[in-house]
Amino acid sequence: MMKKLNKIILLFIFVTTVAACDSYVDIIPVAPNSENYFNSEEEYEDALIGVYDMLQTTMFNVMVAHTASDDIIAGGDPNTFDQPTLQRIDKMSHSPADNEQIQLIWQLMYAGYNRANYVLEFENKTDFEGKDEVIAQVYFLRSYFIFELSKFFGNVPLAFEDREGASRIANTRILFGDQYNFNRVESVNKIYSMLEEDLIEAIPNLPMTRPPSETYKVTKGAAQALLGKIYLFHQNYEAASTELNKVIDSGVYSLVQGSAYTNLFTFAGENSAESVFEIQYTGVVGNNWDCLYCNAGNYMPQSNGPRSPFPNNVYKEGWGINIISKNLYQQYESSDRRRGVTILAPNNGDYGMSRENSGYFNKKYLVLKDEPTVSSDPVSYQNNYRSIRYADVLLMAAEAEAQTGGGNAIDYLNQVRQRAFNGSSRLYPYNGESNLLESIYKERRLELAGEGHRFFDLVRTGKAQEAFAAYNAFIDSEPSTDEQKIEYKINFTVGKNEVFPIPLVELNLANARESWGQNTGY
Amino acid sequence: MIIFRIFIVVVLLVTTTISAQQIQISGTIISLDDDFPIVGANILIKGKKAGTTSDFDGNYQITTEIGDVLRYTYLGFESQEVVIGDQTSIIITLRSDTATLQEVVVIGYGTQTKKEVTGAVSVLDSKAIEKLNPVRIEQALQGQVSGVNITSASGSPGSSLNIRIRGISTNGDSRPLILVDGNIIEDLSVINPNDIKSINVLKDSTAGIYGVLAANGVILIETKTGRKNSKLKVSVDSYIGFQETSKKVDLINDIYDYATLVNDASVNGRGIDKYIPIESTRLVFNKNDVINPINSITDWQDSVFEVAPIQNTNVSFNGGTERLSYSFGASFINQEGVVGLDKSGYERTTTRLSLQYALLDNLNLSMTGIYTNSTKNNLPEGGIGSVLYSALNIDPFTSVRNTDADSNGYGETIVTAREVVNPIAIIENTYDKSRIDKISGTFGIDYTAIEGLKFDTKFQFNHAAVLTDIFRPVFNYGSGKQGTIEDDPNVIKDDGNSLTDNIDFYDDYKWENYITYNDTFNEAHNLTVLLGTSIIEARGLFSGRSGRGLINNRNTIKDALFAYVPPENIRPRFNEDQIEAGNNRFVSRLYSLFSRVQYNYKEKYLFSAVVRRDGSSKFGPANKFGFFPSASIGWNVSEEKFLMNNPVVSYLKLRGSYGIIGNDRIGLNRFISLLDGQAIYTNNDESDADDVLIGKATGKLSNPLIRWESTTSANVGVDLKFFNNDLSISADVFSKKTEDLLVQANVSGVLGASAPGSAPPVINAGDVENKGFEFLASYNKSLSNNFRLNVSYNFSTLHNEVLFVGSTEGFLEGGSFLVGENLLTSRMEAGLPIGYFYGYQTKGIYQDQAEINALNVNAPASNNGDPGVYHKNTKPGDLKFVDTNQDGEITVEDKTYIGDPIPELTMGLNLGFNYKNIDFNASAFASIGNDMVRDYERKNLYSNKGTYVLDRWTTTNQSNTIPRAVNGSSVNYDNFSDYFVEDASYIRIQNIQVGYTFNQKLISKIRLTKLRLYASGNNLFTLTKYRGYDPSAVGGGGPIGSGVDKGFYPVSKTFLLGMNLNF
Repeated sequence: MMKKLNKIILLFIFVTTVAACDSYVDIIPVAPNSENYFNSEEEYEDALIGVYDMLQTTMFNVMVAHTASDDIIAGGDPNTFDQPTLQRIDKMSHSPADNEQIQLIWQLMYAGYNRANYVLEFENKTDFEGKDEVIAQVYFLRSYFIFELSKFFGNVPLAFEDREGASRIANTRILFGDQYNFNRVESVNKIYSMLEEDLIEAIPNLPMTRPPSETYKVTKGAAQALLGKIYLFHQNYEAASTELNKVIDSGVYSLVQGSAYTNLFTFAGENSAESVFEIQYTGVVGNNWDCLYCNAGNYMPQSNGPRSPFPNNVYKEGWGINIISKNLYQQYESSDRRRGVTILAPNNGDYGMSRENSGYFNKKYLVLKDEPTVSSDPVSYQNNYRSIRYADVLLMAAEAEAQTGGGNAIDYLNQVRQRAFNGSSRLYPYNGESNLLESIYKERRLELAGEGHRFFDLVRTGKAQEAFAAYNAFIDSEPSTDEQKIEYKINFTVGKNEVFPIPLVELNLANARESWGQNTGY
Repeated sequence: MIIFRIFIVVVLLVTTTISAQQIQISGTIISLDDDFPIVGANILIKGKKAGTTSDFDGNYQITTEIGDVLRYTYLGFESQEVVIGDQTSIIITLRSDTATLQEVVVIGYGTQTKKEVTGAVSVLDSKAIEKLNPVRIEQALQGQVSGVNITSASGSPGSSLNIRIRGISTNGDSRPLILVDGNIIEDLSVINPNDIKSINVLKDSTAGIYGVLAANGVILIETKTGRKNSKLKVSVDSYIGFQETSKKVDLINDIYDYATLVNDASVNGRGIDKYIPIESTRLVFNKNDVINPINSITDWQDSVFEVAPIQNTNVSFNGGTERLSYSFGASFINQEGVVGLDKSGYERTTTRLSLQYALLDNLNLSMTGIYTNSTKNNLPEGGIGSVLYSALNIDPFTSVRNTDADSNGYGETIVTAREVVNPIAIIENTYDKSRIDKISGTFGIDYTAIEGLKFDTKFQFNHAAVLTDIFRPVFNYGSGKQGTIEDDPNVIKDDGNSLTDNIDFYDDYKWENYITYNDTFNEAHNLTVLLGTSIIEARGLFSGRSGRGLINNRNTIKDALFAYVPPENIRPRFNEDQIEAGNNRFVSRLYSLFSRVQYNYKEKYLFSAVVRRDGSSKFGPANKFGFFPSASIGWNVSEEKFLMNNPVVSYLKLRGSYGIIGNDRIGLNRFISLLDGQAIYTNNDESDADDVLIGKATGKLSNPLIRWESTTSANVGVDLKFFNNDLSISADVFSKKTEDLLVQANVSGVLGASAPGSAPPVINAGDVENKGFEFLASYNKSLSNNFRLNVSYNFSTLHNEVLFVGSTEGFLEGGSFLVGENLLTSRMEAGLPIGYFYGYQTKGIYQDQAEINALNVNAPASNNGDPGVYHKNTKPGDLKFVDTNQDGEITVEDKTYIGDPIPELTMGLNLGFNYKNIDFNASAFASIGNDMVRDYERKNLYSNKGTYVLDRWTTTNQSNTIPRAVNGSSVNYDNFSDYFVEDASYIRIQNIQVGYTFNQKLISKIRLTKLRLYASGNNLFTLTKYRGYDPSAVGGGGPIGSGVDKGFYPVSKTFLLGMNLNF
């Protein structure tokens, strides 16, 4: 019996030692994972690309901002309620139940915010020459995403932490579970202050210019222009003026003239001397129809093109979405070169009609026929988005100086006008102009039309109600049927439509119907 | 030498019994179970002392007198008696004696006799498989065993089938663990059904011996082995036959009906008549073409479906010497498809070798090797761009061929939606082939150290290469049609014809060591103890390349070679970054310790307990190891005195089991976030996708606390046999509760999970319960010497209910409906079956405006004070949606349960008899209570429709079931409602087979031991109300979204002629 037992024990030991090692199942994935990264400069640079990538998703922001303005009509398929969320935004009848583009802006801007925070969370892991500059770019990008969120949704939720004795936007990711304890910032001005802090920290570490191999990277001028813009939204005109003048005084940027201007929004005009900050898109990577924002190209130009049949030698057909209103077209003088740069007006019958057809299309973002693409059926184009142009900087500076009685306002305004009219025929004050600020506002509308700024300019200057009323009056003056007039008018509600609703599904997903609450009026 | 000696003995035995008497009988004794001759069976003349035994080939000779009774007996088999008439040859098939219940059941790391089993185990033997002639093994399981349901993703040859044991218990992977001779084989297509000796299905917690792998049940398959001391036996099984579609959808195929439908829809959609019919002749002409009125119609289904051949040949060699037994088999099957013939054809060659060698009396070696090579041609299936979807939707005025010189040779539909193209053109321009080369092997040593103590070591491996070859020629399906590939100078790269060659390698090995100790104490206490370890590793490595633009405008399949692709147009499947990120490979491991104790007292009271500890590389450090216990008990009541020798009840056993099993069938690396999110930016100076800036970003968000799903399973069963075992009944009640389901729910946008390439974390947040009752009755009796009858019937009920979903929204969604409309069909939500259909309930059709106005009166006013509307944009003839929340208007809040794809009841019926040389077998399967979503109809003006729309509502035909036809936006066709959900219950005659076995005496002259010819038909008849092709299909993909029919490839109706031949 003893012998038998010994054998059993021996065999058992053998069996259990043959393979017995718990570490057998410790397989570390070959690929880098989120927690063991940031071991070299290259890894910081790679993660930074991941943050830049999110900029490309802002094409939805531009499309929604377009639609929301008084200059652009949702359009699309005339026979259906094409892109219903855009249609409702167009008439300001959207609600928290509208997901699509509004939810995408919410999700994608927070995704950008989180990708930036991922780098910042590991800021101190590995040291290398030039890390400050990498971190400065991340601060810029995070500010850009949060600024977008605040423009669309107001005082969105953010996390704060104490750094060096001051309360700052937290440099840590929002991890699963955190969404339930995430709180809205008390005011949008608080957000502006926080972004200002970040940009002030970043600016000294950014270079004035970039070599051609790094065109895509943020410069000092871009950060100063964004800071100036945020000051403007914050109505801190003094600071805005200082910051924007730094950009102007740097001498890095200029308004492009002549044919460079008429081609400014073509491929040849990308990253020009006028470009302060530009979001880069490429057409060389293939399409992903199922995830338009996963493309490395811009899908907005495909939407903007006139609908088929559109027999045109220069431009490709599109979907006739976000068409230019006739009201905007009429704002331009015929001698204004900007009308031809901003608006494509094909002959009647040379294009397929859009819903609420105007016959005018946003020429700044169209697909050129000879533009190379990677497949026969693309939705992903190379058209860069000119986020901050020097003309924008000049007009913002003019506005800030006008608000504070600075001396350069008229000069800056006239620089823009001189280019538009190819000379000094319209210098301020022209033809009885007396209100400098109003003139600057109007110039912004004409100069920056079709670039996504109009709606936010109206909101920040308190001119929205006035502008939409004017638009509705224009609709009334048109020879449409009464039924159409009702359909075409925009129901902007003061105290509500200045911002968009937080999508209901997002309130639900964060269990925040109570804690965040919905934006006023929705 | 040994054979020779046995031969001498047998000869002596035979010759000594001969005496000069009246009649000499010769014959063979064969085992019914495996057709092997029985060596050493006793043949006795009843009432006399004379007798003999069968020889090495099962042959015997005996001299007897007319009127004598011969009694054939063999241990473990039922004895048989034959009255001697004038016959001189008697072939006897002996059936294994179930009364002894010595039938062996494989239970994992060992076997038990049926009597000792305490778990819920279903067994299917080779006989049953043979009768069904399945191409795939899964087909043999359908309807044969209770609690197992087989559904298909497609009826195309070689397509995979889904096996579900006792319902769907997870939103993830519900496949059971499948072991072939102990080796994990995930893809059963590589196994030839003829090679199988038995299939054992472990349905309850006794499967827990397989721990973390076993939550969805375990299927144990044993392949055939030779038998020691037996002569070489050669079997040849072959059949040939043809297949045709089991169904054609009832589509409109009348010119007038179609034209009127289009006109009707167009006018209702504020359009104009598209065709002007001439009432008298029912001809139709286009407005602009009075001269050439349309007078013919294409039956697209007739042009797409073909009669397709199938053939199968299988050869096997079995035998053994004193120490060695061997089995070798080879098979070849060639099956063409009922759609596209060879274009959806399937070919498989398998070879198999099995050897057992007794090196010492107490040391045995065993090995098996299986090699499989299969080739499957694929046609696009399911939805947009697929053959059948196009055949169902293409307008019938288009002709199949076009002989115009400037055409592409195919009739081109100019009016249908751009995705609907000529299905014949799809078939003829698709070149998509996948090939599997797989070799599987097992090696085992068992060593009996001392009596009762056995040591086993088993090594098993699989190596598979899966090759995919696709050629996409330049082809114009028509202007703007999907699938059109052009040569366009403005397109940088992704244009022109293309070639793709991918190779995926899958390798795994498993090494198991275990000791079994078995002893009996005091002749009453039987104890078996098992201790073991197991390690498993699975690896995958993927590679491949693609190329575009064959030189010199080559565009045929013959020229589809990489040699003709310009080198700069060839791209690897994975670039360096993807390889660095590990996208091209995976590895996972499992390390387990397990133990089982089995005890019984005089085979009367049975007890078994299992514990298993598994460590899986799929989980993070916090939850890497799990512990899975289960226990079962049994009571052989018929061993008790009060039931012993009962004339009615010959056997009665009660059994019960309870335990916890795990599930690690989840993705890799979910406890950690890989940096495989998309991070692409551009410096705006690239000319090529290879030059863009590629960085790193977080992919799926991590959840370090992830752990396995665990299933708590309880089973109570009873086994009963009556009337000397002629009638057997088994019944089981079970409950399976799966907790901690892995759920990837929508999460708040603030987490950033919406970034390109990112995804929400997977969390353990869901519970699902399956409850059911299983019943099996079989009756098997020789009613006379010439007539044996067997009937079996089984049914299983299933109640599936989701108990909890831990997402913030309280549900998970999936399934798609219609094309490009982003409508989801299915949900997983507490209180309802997993993957139930979520949409609007309807109740008839609005007959007039007054009916609509009456509902508007009670509708709440809109925000700006406009009067309320019950359901916007509704007109007479539209579906009446039900206001389920009774708030006076139809909103998304009114969506509710409108059906589910899970059958409540499944049944199988098998009927067979043998009369003299004729055998007959038939089997039927029924599935009751499963619903299906009709989604094979394109929402387009010119799409053809089923004839059911002829009964649509019009002002003159006030239908209350089919809404009016409307082109464009319409409440009827823009919403997912129960109008699209059909009852897909069905009864199917799966198989009918009639065979004839030739007399032994006749065929022995040509040295055969068996020759049977048969005719068989599969899927001959399906009774269902479902309008689509196949009510038994549910589609691929997960449980949330199954049962949405986008034009399933129908199962084929098959007619076979076959032969079984042994020598």
